[in-house]
Amino acid sequence: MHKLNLFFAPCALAVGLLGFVPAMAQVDRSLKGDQNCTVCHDESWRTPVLSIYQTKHGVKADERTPGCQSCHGGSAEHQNDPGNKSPDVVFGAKSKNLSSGEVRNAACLTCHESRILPRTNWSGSQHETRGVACSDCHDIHTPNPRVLNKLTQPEVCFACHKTQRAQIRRFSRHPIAEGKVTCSNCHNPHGSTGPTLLVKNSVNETCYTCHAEKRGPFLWEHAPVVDDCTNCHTPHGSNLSPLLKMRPPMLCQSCHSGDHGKNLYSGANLPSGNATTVNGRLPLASQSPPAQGNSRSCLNCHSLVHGSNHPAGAKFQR
Amino acid sequence: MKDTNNRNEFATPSLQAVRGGLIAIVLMLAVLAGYKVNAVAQTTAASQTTPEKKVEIGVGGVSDNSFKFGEYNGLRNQGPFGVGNFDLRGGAAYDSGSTWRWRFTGTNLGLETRNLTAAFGKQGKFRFIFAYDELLANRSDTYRIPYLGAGSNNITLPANWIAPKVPQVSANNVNFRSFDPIAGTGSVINSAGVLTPPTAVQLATLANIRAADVPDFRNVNLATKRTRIDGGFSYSPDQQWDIPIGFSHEHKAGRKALGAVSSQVSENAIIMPDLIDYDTEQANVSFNYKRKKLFLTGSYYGSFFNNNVKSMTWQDVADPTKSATMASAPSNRFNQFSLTGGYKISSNTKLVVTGSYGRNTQDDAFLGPSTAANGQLAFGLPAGSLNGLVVTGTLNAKLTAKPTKKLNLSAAYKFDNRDNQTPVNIYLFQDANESKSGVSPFAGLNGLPVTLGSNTNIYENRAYSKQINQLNLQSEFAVAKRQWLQAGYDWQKIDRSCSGSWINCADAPATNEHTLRAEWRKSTVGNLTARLGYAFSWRRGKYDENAFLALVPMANVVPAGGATTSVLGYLNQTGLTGFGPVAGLPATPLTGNAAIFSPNNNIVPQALYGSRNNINELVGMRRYMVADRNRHKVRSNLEWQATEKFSLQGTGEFNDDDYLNSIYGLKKGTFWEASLDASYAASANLVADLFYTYDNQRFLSAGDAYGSNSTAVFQGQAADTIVSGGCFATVAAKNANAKIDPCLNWSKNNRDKIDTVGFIIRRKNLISGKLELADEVMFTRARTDTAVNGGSYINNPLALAAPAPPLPPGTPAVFFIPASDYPTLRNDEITVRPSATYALSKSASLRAFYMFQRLMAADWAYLGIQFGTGTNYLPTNEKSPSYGVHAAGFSVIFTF
Repeated sequence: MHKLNLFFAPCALAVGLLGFVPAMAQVDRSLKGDQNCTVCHDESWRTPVLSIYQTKHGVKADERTPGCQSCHGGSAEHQNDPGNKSPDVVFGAKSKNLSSGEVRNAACLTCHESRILPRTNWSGSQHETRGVACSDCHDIHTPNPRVLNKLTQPEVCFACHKTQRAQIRRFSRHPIAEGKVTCSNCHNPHGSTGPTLLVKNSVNETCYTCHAEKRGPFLWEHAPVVDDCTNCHTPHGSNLSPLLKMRPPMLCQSCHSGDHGKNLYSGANLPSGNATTVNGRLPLASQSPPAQGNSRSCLNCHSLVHGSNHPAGAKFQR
Repeated sequence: MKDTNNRNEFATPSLQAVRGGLIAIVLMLAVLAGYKVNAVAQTTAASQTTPEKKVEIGVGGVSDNSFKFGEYNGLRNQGPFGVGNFDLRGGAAYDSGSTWRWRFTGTNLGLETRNLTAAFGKQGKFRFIFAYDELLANRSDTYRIPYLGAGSNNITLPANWIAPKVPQVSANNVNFRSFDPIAGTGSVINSAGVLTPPTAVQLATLANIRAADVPDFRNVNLATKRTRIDGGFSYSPDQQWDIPIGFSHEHKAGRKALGAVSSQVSENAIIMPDLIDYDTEQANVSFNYKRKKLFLTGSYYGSFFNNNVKSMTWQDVADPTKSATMASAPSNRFNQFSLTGGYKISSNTKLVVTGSYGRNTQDDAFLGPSTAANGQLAFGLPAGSLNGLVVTGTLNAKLTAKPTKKLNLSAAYKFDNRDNQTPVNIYLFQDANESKSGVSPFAGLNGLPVTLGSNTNIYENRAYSKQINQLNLQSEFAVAKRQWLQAGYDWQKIDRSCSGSWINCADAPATNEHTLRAEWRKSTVGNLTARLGYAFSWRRGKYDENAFLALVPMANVVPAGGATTSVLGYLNQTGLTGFGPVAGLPATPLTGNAAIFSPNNNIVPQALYGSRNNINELVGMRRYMVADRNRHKVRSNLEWQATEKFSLQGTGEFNDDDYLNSIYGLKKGTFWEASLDASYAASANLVADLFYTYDNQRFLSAGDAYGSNSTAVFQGQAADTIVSGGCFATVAAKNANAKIDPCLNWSKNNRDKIDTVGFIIRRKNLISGKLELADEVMFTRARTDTAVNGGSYINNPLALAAPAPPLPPGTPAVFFIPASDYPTLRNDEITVRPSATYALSKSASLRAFYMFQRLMAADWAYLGIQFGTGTNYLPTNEKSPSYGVHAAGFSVIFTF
């Protein structure tokens, strides 16, 4: 019996869903069909509903576009008793009758799973498995959706990603607040083959879309660079320029312990340091901070850390 | 000399835009004067369904110059700027029989961050899109150098340049402290142990240097600008096919700072204005085929980077008769083909498979011996260019299923291969400005030149390859209505290698990481959402501490000088690493190969593997990107819609990376964050949000400033034997244990603590719906501290050889001086940005905006680059970019 259940349950669900799809497909997507809804939800409604006709979803001559009931369901009960019954599918985030994310997404995926702007990688993606619904980010009825504007898109993402909201305000950052780089330049929120929903297959491939000069291949490669840019950089913002996790020499000495990479550089080596004099009589030359510990530190000399193509550049100095 | 470039050279178009904007606004205001101020437009069905067009024209002003304030927003320069934005859209009516749509937008037209976009097409059939975009990145406006030719790839010193020296310290070595009349004229302890002021001749020399060199320093703005053109076309011949095509060209030009060492021996370095002149083209085309259950796409992506600058050349500040040349990033190409297939096996089961194949090539001509200065490449090159080739390949397969209404399952496999097939060769070179000297123990061996110097580097390039195999399994079960429990397991294996390498090049040729994770989430409709997730990962790999030898193939060759084996042979025989024995001075002198390869138990001499530098690492050093690691991750989120108007949201995040087998290098990395958001929406007309985020990041790393064991028993003179502090009482004991002295172990604890507070309020429909107000206040308080534990031995400057007198009895010859923490790095920024929009009529409104931003910055990196600080790196006199800038303006917005 248990095995039978295992077999029949998915079948029943599949049949049920299959039944749902034709129902969606058979709705009257014409303006006449929409009038079932717009007779009440007209221009005086508390939120603009008719503005969907300014959007791509509202172009009726495009036979792919939906009608109200394509997304909200037939909503017969709601039409019969609008005061007490909700539409079949409710998208309003603050509504007490908000439909589940799965139901809301099903309305969108009817078209967008494989037919129109397919979201092939949505299934099993980080957002999908955490219950994010399309309508959590997309305002379908507005002609100026925040998520499709580079300047306002981050606001949408930051509704959940609070750490990144703070990070883009830091001293060293990408021009996200200015709308010149936006979240979707690097991330595909609909799912991807890359890590952390990146638009490309890897971190580095994604970074190279803007920083192609780092791609090489170089004659002298720096292992952590070709491995993953985020070994050293934190892309959403840092107190340490340029988008560094740590300031050199600390960053470099996390991996290098040979030659002068082994030495201790500390605040004592700085001009304001307090420990490099002995009774005030240290030789003049010794009072200065070493190049490895100040200014750009290791990068004063080993500046081509992303790789060098000079035959004498093995030490990233040429 | 007159300062040049103190205005941004990119500003000219902006000024033109300002003038244009001013003229336009005068015209618009004249038009407005003829308008009768009507009531604000009422919403109608027509107004809701007709695409709205907007044009905004205005003028603004900036109170002060600040590169940092204007880093990305185009408001770098004090003075006026034009406000120009528009959004024009139209096409066939929604209820017509046509699907024509078009849109033309422009933003920031008066600034060097302007953007223009035009798109048009028949929806569902085809679409064209064109875009033009500028992005100015300001990098520094306080940078000063004496060099001429900034903006070219050959910078030279002025004819009057005198190599800076502090003659009382050294008559020969460069010393930039000479630029400061106080720091450069200090007294020195002479060989007799007497503190001696500079002589009159020396003071005159210093005065001459200052008089000649200091005025040569002039301001050079550092900024780069990206100008990008995008074009796109998509065509859908029918409902089954989509063919999107895209192309972009980006030109990046300007200058950015780049460290450049003139001499590795004396470590003379400058920060030079690196010329940036890049062109990058990207192209993509896809063929998408769609059926009800099937999606297939074949796509091509190409990226072609062309660097118009092949090298940077600069004169040596210590010796202007010499120049040095650095290679710029080479041009490169990347072509990638991808195939994706998605198939809905059933209504609740889906399979997606993606594969890609890419070729990344680079064959820029090497800078040859004639362009590499000072005989650096005197032994020639093995090839004219790298002929670099990296082949990338990926395969992803993901199966998702919902076998029951309560259960979601997914399984994904990923293969990602970076196969670097770049030819591997031996390159012979001298270090920067270092003349060949001595005779290499490998001269004449293995076909190498017989004239190799003992300081000639014999290096082989390492072509790093990486292969990832990854599996992700996940299940999610609805334990109750709107309550889910998720569990997952991830496995990732990474193999690293170098094709063509004579020996393993990877610190950890293979690492395996396993992750177990679980997450619980719950939501109650319109009221409460909660999420709590935890993941634990453990990564392990076998670490090869001798992988560094891949860089120096002579480690596999028996050097001249009596050894019977190579470095590698010796290390294999003894089980040692390049660090040599972990021991103090041997009781009896070492003999044979041990005396050659690890004399006094010290590290393997660099010359014996053909390197000018010791490139071995400490025993126990683990590079963190491959080191064994335990990782804990916690994520939490709680959203509570307390009332219809008021909501609270709290989030928390905790990451802990423990590099458990790393004795040296990065040992721990911890990050945690907490945020609290409060939102109040009194109505659609009044919305206020307040948030606070605190994050804290720590990195703990360790090192060892070990020395070389030696038999020296005094410092200066025979009686000068006392060590003050440290781990040993005598110079003899300290030197005998220099390599294992525990007092030379050090650790650093880096900590970022950052508070971010934001407040946003919007009020609409004031004054009969005519006025809308908004304000945004942001404050960030950021601190980076680096605590340092450890210390250094410093010789007593009076512990000198004769004729200086011996130290008084009991006087330390060597002091152990504890390390000091780094000064706090601070960046506090506050932004206040109110704005108001007033409706003049149903089609025109007036917008006023104001922005004040203040940055209070302190950064120790600037301390050593002022006149009179560093000895061997050229000061740039750059300052921490603190600022307080006001920007304000007004504009008229037309809506039609």
